[in-house]
Order: sequence, then structure tokens, then C-alpha cells
Amino acid sequence: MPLVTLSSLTSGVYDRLEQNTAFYPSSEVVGNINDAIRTINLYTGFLRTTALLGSEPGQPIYDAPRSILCVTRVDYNGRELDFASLASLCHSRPRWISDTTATTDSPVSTWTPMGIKRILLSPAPADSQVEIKLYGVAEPVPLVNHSDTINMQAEFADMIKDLAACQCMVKCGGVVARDGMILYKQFLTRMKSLKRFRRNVNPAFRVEIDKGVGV
Amino acid sequence: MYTVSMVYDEVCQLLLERGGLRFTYSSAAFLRDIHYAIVETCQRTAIVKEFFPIDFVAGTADYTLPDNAMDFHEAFAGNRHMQKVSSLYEDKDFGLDDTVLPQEWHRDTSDANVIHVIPPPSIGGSAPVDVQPSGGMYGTIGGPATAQDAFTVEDPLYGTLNSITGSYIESDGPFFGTISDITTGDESMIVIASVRPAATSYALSDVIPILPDTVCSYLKWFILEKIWSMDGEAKDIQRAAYATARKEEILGILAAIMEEDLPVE
Repeated sequence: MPLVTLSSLTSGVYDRLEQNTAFYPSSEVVGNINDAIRTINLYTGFLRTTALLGSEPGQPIYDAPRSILCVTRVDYNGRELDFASLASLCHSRPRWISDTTATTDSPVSTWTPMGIKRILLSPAPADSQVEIKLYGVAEPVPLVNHSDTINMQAEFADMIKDLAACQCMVKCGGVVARDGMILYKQFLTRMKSLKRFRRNVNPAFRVEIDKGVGV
Repeated sequence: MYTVSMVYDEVCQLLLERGGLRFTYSSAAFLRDIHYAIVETCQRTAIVKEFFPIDFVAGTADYTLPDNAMDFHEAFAGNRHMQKVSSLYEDKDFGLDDTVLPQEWHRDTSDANVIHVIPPPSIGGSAPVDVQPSGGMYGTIGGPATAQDAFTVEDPLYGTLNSITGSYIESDGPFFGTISDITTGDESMIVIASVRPAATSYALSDVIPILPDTVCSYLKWFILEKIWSMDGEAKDIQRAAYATARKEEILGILAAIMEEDLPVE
């Protein structure tokens, strides 16, 4: 994937804002670019990362570090674990809260999310410092300097520019804000095919053009 | 780390009030509403869940959880999962002679934050023993002799807690170190519930607790939805609809993640 610099994103946003640097200061545009990156990352999960943890004897609960937004896969000692929801874990292993690999004589086989950044391993490892590798969607690191880069697909760069420009334009109100919202409406349409979490349904959003007419 | 002041600055920027809210909305209203925004996010998405240990009392069926517990998801008695049932269909055949520990739970006829267990336990946990060393606690607790002891530490807690089966530990101050093994005693209950931050008021310099930065970046839309919706000079129906869409966007995505619709890598 190509590296995109903050300066190229900023200039793309200013192209959409008619180069109005007086009304849209650079700090504001950069903030909105970072917001747009977070939004598109939430939809698509294009930023991935991994983190390593060490097991603690008898401990089933592990917290993902700040760099991970949500965990999508867990490997224990180099082997991928099965995924189970909290409800299914409770029904299939009613005593998982106290089960360990020593008491059940079976290896760690299942991971379960408990909240967005916390996972449960079942049965809990009885050994210490066995490698737990978390895969997940990364929490984006905000871009600050113009030379800062982000690794992304080229089409996402255009969407980030559109969304950041939209957010800048909303502060104006009136026709300018409405034009910005049309960019957001187009963004939502594109996200329908790119979204990662299938059950995510965006609420209906309608931009009023004239009285009684909307897009 | 996202701070309350970062959200405040974003709201000021979108209201064209650089340098602070003065005209259509006040800082005090902002600090009130950011609390509501954080609570609404936690409540509607359940992205943060915690374990709440509770000691049983013989013959008592109702137990109250702390204020920051929201939806109860699962409950365990004596390390065994309890079935969630409806009060309409709860099993009335349980008798105190039949069972020592509760088998089922519900909360549909209970007060807020109260869990009702069925049948009531026939044995109770021991009374908590408070250990409150002055100046914090340093070092290692290596397995108390008696299970069901409770430790309340009001000062910072440093070190490692080893093998504290059946004990309850509460640290009101910062907590440093490792709990290597935390397991309920046979007479205790553990409830898994979604939580909101314990704080109910914020200052501009506060770090927003619990929520990841990506989620915090959406909090401004919760506030702006309210500002642009309420009667007054700032009322703007179209922008209110946009703020609502952005708010529902984050709540929808988080709810989708929490419905455990995780994709295969």
C-alpha cells in the first residue's frame, strides 16, 4: 500500500475548500483529517497491528494495549484460538471462570471478547509467560507534521479528503454546510460496500436541497 | 490520551467560537453534557465490561451492584455460570434443602442495579475483614490463610497479589502490580456487567476515561446534536440531523463490533 503524507492530504482538503486558508486554519484541517482517518479505519479496519502479551498462571483475562482499537484474532503459543462469544462460552463451559489448563487437562483453545479491548482465554493458561499474540484494528496515531505518513489504499486518501472537507464545511452552516453534507452522504454510500462489520447499519441521513426535495 | 478540553475545542471550532463558548452555549453546560455523552456511549454499546464480585448472604435473594454497573450480562455462583431467566418462568421448585447456591438470576422485577438470584443461597460469605495499612501496601500477599477475607486499601497498592482465592480486594487509590490469580470463593457471586466511568462530573483538564481515542473523537457530535436541536439562536435542523447521523454512526459501528460479528482474518 502506498504511503500518503499529511501534506498531500492537507492540500487535497484545501482543493475542496477553494484554498481558503483564512477561514479554515491548518490546525483545524489537520484535526479533521485525523478524525476522517479514525472514521474510515472504524469502517474498514485498514490499519492493522499486533501486540504480544505473556500469560499469567490461572489468569483468564487480558487487556489489549492502547495501540489496539479492537481485537480480531488471538494466537496462543503460535496457534490460532477459536472465537466464542461470551454467551456461548458461558453455556459451553459453565465453569470457565475457574477452569485452567491444569484443572481441565486441555490446552487453551478459545478466546472471547469482553468489551472492546479485553479478552478472555479459556481454559485459563496454567503456565506463565507463554506468548499471547493479539491481532487487531489499530488505533490511528494522529498525524502532526507535514512529513508524517500513513499507509493506506489510494482510494481511501480521497475519501479522507472528502470527509475532512465535509467536517470543515459544516461549521459554516447554510449552503456551504449542505454541500459538505452531500460529501458525507456520498461517503456513506461508498462505505456500504467497504464496511468491515456486516451488522453495522448507518441511520438514514437526508440532505435537504430545497423544501421538499432531498438527496 | 483524549482530554475533555480537546472535545471542548472541537465544539468551539464547529460553533465558530474560538477561545471558548460564550454565546449560544456555556462551558458549564458542555461539562454536564459530555458526561451524558460518555454515559450514553457506554450504555448503548457496552464496550467496557467488568467483573463485580459480591458476597452472598444466607437467605438473601437481592444483591445491589455499584452505581457504575449498567447492563448485567452474565453471573456466576461458586464459579459456576447461572442461567438468566425471566421472572415469569423462574423455577419455583428450588428449596433451600435442595441447593446451597443459586442456579438462576433475573433483574426484570428488581430495582435498578439489583440482581435477583434463585434460589437464595442457604449459606453466606464471611464478613469482610478490612485491612487498611497506612501509606499504601507494598510487596506480596501470598495466599491468605482464610478464604473470603476482604482487603480494602485506601492508599496506593504496589506489588503482586499471589493466589488470593476467595478474597475480595478493593483499592481506592492507584493500583500498581499484578494480580496473578483471582478466583471467586464458593460462597461468592461474580457478575459481568457493562460499566460507565465512576466519575459523574468532569473538568476541562480531565482525561476522558474508559473510551478509546477513536470513540472520543465522536463525542463532539453528541454535544452538537443537542446544541443545534434546541430552541435558540443556534438551532439548525439540517446540521442537527448531520450531528445525529455522526453520533449514530459511532454507536452503530461499536454495537456491531460488540455483537461479536468479528470478521475472519
